Amino acid sequence: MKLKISIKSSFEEVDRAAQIIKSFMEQNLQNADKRSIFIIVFSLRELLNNAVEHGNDFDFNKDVYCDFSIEGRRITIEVKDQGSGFDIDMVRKRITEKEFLSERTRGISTLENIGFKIDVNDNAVIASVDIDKIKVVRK
Amino acid sequence: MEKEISNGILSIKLENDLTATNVRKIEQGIKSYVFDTNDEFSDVELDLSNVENIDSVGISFLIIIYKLAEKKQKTYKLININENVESILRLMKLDETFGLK
Repeated sequence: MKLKISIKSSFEEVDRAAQIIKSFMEQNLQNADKRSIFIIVFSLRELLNNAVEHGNDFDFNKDVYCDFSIEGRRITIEVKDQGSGFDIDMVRKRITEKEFLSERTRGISTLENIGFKIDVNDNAVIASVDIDKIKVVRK
Repeated sequence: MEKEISNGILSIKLENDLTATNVRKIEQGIKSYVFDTNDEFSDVELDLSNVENIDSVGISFLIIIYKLAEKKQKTYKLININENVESILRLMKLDETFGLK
């Protein structure tokens, strides 16, 4: 099951895409708890925000493309921007408070902490995770 | 955004989600509350009861306010946090920073 969305390069458009994909998950994922859906939406926002801000530099003439798919329990999010791409090793760092304040480093390592496998192909980021293996931290 | 100073506590209640769109709208206002308000408070409390969604821009914002409060030697804590938001903060190992029990 796949949902394809393209958005303009603004945070408002990210909000719109997040709402659409959240509804898609609620309708199509069997037995997924709300916490896992919340964490996937958080992760999706991270990928889209980075594409809008760092990939397309808020250029409203550039689009961000998102393919969101559910295959069994596997969720795959592919986000492609129209920027020049980036080096994943530069951003694959352990999250610390200091690094979290540095905008460029926080996204990928956060998603890896959650349990996503991340691949980067030019200006596309592909993040996939088994919904039952998402790291959920409770009190 | 509601602000109140009572019994030495500056309480700020956020009205919307802490996502990139909203953070840009409220960031300057809250920074000025913490920085420019006369020092008639010793604690800063951020009430997140209306925050259902957060992203990393929102988390960075919470850290920035924490840093401002620390600089002014105020204690800082988050209150009325939605369980989902709290789970993300714990995952980021920010629970101690934000006074979560």
